[in-house]
Amino acid sequence: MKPLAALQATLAGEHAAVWIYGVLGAQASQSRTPELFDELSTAYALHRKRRDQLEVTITRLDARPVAAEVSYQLPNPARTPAQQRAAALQVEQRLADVYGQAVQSTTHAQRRWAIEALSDCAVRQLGFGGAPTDLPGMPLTATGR
Amino acid sequence: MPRRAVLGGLAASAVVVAAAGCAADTRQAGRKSPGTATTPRGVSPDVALAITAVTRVGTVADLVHRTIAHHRRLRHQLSGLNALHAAHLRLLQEAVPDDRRDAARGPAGQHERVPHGAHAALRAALRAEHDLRPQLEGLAVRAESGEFARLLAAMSAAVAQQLAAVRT
Repeated sequence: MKPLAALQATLAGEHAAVWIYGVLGAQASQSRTPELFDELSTAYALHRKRRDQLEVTITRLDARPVAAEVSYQLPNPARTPAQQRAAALQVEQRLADVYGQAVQSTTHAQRRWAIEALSDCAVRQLGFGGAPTDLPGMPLTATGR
Repeated sequence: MPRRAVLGGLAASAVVVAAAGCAADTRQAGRKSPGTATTPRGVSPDVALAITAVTRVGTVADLVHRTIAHHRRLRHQLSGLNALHAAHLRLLQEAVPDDRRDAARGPAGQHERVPHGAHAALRAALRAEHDLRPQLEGLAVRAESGEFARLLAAMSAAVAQQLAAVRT
């Protein structure tokens, strides 16, 4: 994959993450599950930041950043805290794979940035009930996830 | 987790690095790569990175292994890192041609001492793990092969996960 295509795919992933975290944050109860609410809010803010960074990077490459979809499909109904955690975990797992592809397809500063984002996704998975894996961000077929 | 599936799936990509490295040996012979001052003569840049990665992961793996041996009560906290390094080393060693394996073992007899106290020993092991991450990331940035870069980055991310899991 060409570097620009990988960055656009990463941006598309971040658009989806921002949308899904927005919904999850609205569904979560700040009073009943404050810890989950905080984790979702933190993740939402971080993915917005990464989305914005990607848009700047792509614009600097004289390309038009891919636009967000009108809406996205939630991984599950996200009605209960368990479902919300599971949905957030799935978002981070998918994004880790997307950032893995970005690492593979870019070089220098862009690759370094993608490496940091990959690690962040990998660690954030634990907060949503994920377990450590041997190689987060490697293709699904290889990791057997 | 299905560790065997991971290894089975990824050994192939590591071998690809080795094969590419062998093929590139003739082109790279005698040429010094930028930023790879320790690159063994005649070894392609990515094979040299694999050798460096084996040495660095191996050094930390050895410390963690000896820490567990000295302080059995730390076994629970460090077992995940211990298993992780073993899996990563198997993959990385696949990327090093047979005739370069000795170079990947590093200098003998330069082991970091395991502190007597369990608390200090845990701190020392985690510090070594923490230091390993930017090393792996630096190697990933330098890798010529995108696949190998991804593998090294995934290894660093896996260490980050284990460190976070130990802290919680």
